[in-house]
Amino acid sequence: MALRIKSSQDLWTGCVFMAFGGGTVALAQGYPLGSAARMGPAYFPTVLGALLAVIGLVMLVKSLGSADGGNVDRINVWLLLRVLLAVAAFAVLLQPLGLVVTAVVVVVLAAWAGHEFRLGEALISGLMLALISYALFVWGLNQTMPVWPWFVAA
Amino acid sequence: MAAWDLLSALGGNLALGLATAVSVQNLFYCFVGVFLGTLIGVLPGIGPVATIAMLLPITYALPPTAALIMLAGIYYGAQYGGSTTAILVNLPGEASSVVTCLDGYQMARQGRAGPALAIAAIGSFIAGTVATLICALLAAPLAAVATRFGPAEYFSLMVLGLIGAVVIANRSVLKAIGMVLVGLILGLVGIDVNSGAQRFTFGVTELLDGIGFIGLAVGVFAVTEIVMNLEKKDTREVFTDKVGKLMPSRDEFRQSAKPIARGTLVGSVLGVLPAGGALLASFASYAVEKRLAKDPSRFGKGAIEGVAGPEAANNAGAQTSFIPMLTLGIPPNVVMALMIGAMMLHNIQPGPQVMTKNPELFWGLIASMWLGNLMLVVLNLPLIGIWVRLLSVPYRLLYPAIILFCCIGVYTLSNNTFDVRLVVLFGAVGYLFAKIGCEPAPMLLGFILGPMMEEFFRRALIIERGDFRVFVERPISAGLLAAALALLVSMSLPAIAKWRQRVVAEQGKA
Repeated sequence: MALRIKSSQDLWTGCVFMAFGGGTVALAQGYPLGSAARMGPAYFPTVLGALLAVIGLVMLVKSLGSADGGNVDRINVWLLLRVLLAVAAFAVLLQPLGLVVTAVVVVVLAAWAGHEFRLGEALISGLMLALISYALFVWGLNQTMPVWPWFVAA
Repeated sequence: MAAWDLLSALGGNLALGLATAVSVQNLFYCFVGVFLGTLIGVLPGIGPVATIAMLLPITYALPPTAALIMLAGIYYGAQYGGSTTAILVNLPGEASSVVTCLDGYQMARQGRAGPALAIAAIGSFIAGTVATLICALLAAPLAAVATRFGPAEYFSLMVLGLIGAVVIANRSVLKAIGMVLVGLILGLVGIDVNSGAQRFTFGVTELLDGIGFIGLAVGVFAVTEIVMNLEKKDTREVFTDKVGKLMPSRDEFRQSAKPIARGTLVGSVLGVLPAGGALLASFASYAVEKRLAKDPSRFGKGAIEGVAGPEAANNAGAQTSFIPMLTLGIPPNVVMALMIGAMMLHNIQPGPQVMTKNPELFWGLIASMWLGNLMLVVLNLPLIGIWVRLLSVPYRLLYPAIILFCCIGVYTLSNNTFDVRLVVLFGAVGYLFAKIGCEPAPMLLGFILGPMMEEFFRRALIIERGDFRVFVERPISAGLLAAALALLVSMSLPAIAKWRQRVVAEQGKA
């Protein structure tokens, strides 16, 4: 599931900078601009966004003329998504399921992202880390967070 | 007479600092910081920035002074842990230990890992001691100068700081400046303090206070780094059972003495400059030692000077880079940007007023630098066995734990999962930026400085009724801007461009 983009890094950087800079300028126009003496909330973002867009344009032009920028190598979308899934699982599951269950799920999902995944090992390390984080954060540092799933806690 | 006054004031300040730092509570947090920093920093593939980003939330519950003391401890610990990894595994945790790999790893292969580790610790301690004194000496006069700065000077100083920080350490100056701008813009998200307008919040209530900088830092440093590490298959050769005897021989001590002294000097000077702190320092010191050596061909084959000099230099540089951060509120590198972020979390506005408003924090932190370094030596030499064993824990077990602790840490900061969602977003953004060759460090610097820069820019122009000449008509401001411009221009000179390419290429090899 790897995406191959045959384009130079500079080209993409130029596009990203122009889009981000341009977007900033465009969005900022929804606020009062003011003047240099009495700047409105749009003033500084407009200046920054315009500068960024100009730099993006220069990068874009440069990427057509010189090749010293290097090329984008394999983007492992699948790997990235799996790692992010582990983090997202924490955000979604913590409130309903509590720390202990969430920790196990996060660790197993994270381990699954790597290329040497073993379910048994991941489960054991997940359980151990759940206990450690419970001891450390809830007991040791006195942080308040849901510990058990809502149906157990209630 | 003036000199005497200065010295006695310094003595008083250091005494206050020591009194603060030596309290049982602060000593404890300094110890915990150094210990945790080394523990995590030793793990391969995790540099000081990721370590600090990960542990920062833990310090949030502490009083500000204790929190900063602990963070500083984490920083030295992580840096020292990184050197251990560089020597034993040939995997630098961050760019500034790349140099340590060159000769340190060769020493380890020859069965001299023990002396390499010991000399790194001793060199770092000596350098740290000298650099602490330099911090104490320079801080007061610099802060005094800074209090006379108006908004125009501050704005120009920030421009210089940002340009200086990005120009030297990055492959492409243009990209780095672009990333600074991206960071500056991200820093503006939230309610504008002057007009009350909600900028770029897209109706999300959680964004009213701005993007949480921990979420950003953990995303682009910790998560991105993990994905990048998982991409490469790791083929490391660990010299865990060959550490051997620790103490360097008399000869090795003799060979290291001068490199340590020179490294300390080089590092202290380079650390203060708005550029690279530890990174530039260790490269420069290695170059100096190689040039001065009777037989330069020994370098790269296990010359102890090649470990002693750069290790002293990077610690000195790490230490003195606190000076601009503490006195001017300007971070010379990402670690200091994180420190500033931590101060702001505790409602301490960084800048020259910190010294007068929070003297126990200021001098306590400086005194704790020395104590932290002392602890490093005391802690690390006997504990080296533990660190070495940690190195043999496979990465497939480590990174899920890192992800979990990052999530919990970020969550506990606000007891809200919104910041964890930001980690998801910025993890993806950081990875894609890395793929197009854009480094996240300049972005974070810009992000931290964004709101302050806007404020100074606005104030400078209000005073002069919108006349942009204020930035070039005030002599100090003009000088600072001229220096920034000179830096930019000099980077395009052929000789310097070549030198930069070499430095960056060395970094890239790691």
